[in-house]
Amino acid sequence: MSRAPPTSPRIKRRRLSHDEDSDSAAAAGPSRWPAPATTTLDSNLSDEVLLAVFSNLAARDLTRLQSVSQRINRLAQDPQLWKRLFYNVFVQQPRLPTLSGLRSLLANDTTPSQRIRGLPSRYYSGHTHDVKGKARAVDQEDVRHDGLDWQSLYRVSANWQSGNFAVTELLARAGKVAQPVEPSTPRSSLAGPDRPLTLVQSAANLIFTASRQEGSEAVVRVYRCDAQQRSPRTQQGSQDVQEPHDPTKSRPIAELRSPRLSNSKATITELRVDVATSGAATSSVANLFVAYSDSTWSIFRVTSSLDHQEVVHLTPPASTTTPIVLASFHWPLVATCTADFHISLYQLGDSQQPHLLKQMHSLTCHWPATISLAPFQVEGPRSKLGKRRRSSTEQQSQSRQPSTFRLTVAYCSPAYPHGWTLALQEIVLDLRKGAGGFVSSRFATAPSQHAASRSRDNAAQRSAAPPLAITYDDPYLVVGSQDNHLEVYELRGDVAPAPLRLAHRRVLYGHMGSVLSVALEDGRCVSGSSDGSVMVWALADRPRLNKTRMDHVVTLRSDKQAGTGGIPTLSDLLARVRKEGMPPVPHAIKWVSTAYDRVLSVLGSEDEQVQVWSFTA
Amino acid sequence: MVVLETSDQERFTVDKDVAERSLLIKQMLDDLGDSDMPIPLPNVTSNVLKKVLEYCGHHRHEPVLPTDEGEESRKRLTDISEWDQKFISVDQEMLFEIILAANYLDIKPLLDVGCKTVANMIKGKTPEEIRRLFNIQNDFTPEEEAQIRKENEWAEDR
Repeated sequence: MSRAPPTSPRIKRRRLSHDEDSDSAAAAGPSRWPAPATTTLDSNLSDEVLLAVFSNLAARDLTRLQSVSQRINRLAQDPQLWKRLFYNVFVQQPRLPTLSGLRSLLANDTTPSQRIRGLPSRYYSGHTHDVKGKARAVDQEDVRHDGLDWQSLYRVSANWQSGNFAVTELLARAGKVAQPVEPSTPRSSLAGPDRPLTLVQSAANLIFTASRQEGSEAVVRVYRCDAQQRSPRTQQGSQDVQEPHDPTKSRPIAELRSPRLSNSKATITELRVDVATSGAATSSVANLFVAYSDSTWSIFRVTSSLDHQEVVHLTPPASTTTPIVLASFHWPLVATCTADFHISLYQLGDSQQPHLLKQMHSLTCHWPATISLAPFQVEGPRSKLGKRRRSSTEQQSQSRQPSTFRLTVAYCSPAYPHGWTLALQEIVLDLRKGAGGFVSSRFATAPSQHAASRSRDNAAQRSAAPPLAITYDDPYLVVGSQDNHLEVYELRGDVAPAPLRLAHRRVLYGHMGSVLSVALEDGRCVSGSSDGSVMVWALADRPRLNKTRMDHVVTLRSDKQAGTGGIPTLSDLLARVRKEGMPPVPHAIKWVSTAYDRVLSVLGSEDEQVQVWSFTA
Repeated sequence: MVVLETSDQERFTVDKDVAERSLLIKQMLDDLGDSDMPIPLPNVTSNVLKKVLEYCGHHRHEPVLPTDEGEESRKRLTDISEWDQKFISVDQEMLFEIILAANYLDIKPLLDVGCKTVANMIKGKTPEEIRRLFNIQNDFTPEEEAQIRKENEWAEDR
């Protein structure tokens, strides 16, 4: 009696092929590997074994495998392969966390300091399905359906790292040239922020632009930002400076106008998308805040099919009749700021008029300044790790409609006896509470000993000139300066009543011109300079570990004439200046903004250009 | 001693600790207790089993890692040891047969060596070279193939 043959516990053979010709084919094969006979990779190895083989390969080999055959293509796209690669290359954690660990991050954690490095924040909130119970066991099927396109995440991250992008230039409607206007009154520090005439915002795959030039029409142009096919690249240039592509041109696909302003001479003074709707990867609706020079403002709702309507229009109380020049929008809240720092906070409802929650005024604020509104969990996110766990029902209700918000205003402030420093005001509001919902208010300034010692040590112009650009994304505050560098501050202090501190972390050098613009998202800092270059920096992702890594990632340029070998060395520059006189001013990057797959920039001196640099290519 | 019988009716008598490198056989022996009945392995031919037993014999004194933790430590060893490399220097057909047998017999370290070897063969090759190497039929239309290549250009630049 013989035992029953054991069946394979793991994999069944797909099929056994016994080709009759194969023996002769094997005999004829002269190469090191004789031509396959009975057992071949394609016909005998199961999907699972092939995936095990592919798990030893890098991105380039996987993408090449994808064009080998249909079956191999399908396998080489496996999300788990790409997820592993994404972790190995961009997360750089010692080991892959279990899926449950990842999922808890995806589903619950909105604290930037605890984010997985490199994973865009839009993947963190709300829309990953919650799986409870199964603490360990990385279930393969679960991974497959975690809903993220890991290959495209990898691709975008790889493109960021190598500075591989495609440029799209946004064209204003043909035939419409804005009339030249006499320059407005000379700017004082209270005249409002020094910023380009073109306002740009982006949400999901839409981009909105408007001109704030006097005399221009109050119209918001809408562009579609689709994934661009990349154009062929030139192979010259230094290693980490990318050569520009020929920009693709893009024309507006829609225009938004407020019907109430049809006979008015008002121009647009500020644009701001709703970060609550535009942040979600799957959002089909974008809310857009538009402020006008007659100090009114309105909100448009635009769907992905470009249906749009003005849902709110508000004329503020007579006390504030200066136009809004800066706003932050996170549904249902809007924070607005005028040139003379009257800050108002409104709550929106779906049907009723905006409700004014709070008004503030400051005499010590100076431009540049930044306002940010973000949901805030009072008992949780900035505090100790152990307090992070809350009941799942609580988490769900919070992710659906946050009720506690944090308003942060960061601005320049004169430091006596001379120089400038930074200050930050934080206000926490709970919309469920009455009386404006006020919870706490805290204030911090940049350490004076830093500012003082710097001003003593360094040349006077360093401290005498205020910063040119400022941006804030929890926990970092980054400031761009006239003398070619960036300063990184970190905001510390858990929740009120703990004191808030602005700690100076690093100075980032590298630009060859004044840093005119800076933007920050998910620890990725993007700075634009008068030298026409944009630099990408990686700020530390885990400040708690006390390991600050702030690395220059890559330098990007899009202007063609400057693309002659990247950033010149000082001696090159001097030699060129001696020979040819001062070089023409390159396309200064006046304004930048960044999202997980793109940089938006406004560049140029008199004629402004809006460019979208897409990293999905 | 354990007796194994291959698909071509050849019998191998090996030490128990050698045979138990295969978690499949180990499980059977645990379930059925000692017996001198041959264990039939209908998915493995004698020439392949000879190779597999050679591997098991060489690694007989290494601890058998439990399935779950094995995953972890296995991943840390990126390179193939010298002996394993020599062992796996076989023709393609034998390589795949060994992989199939290792998979069937549940010998994870051997499966891993096999997979890494195949991966090393793929590394750095163009799609055409991969097709030629493994005799894979290109079932894409030229348009499809061009489209896929265009989409994947981003990975070629580094």
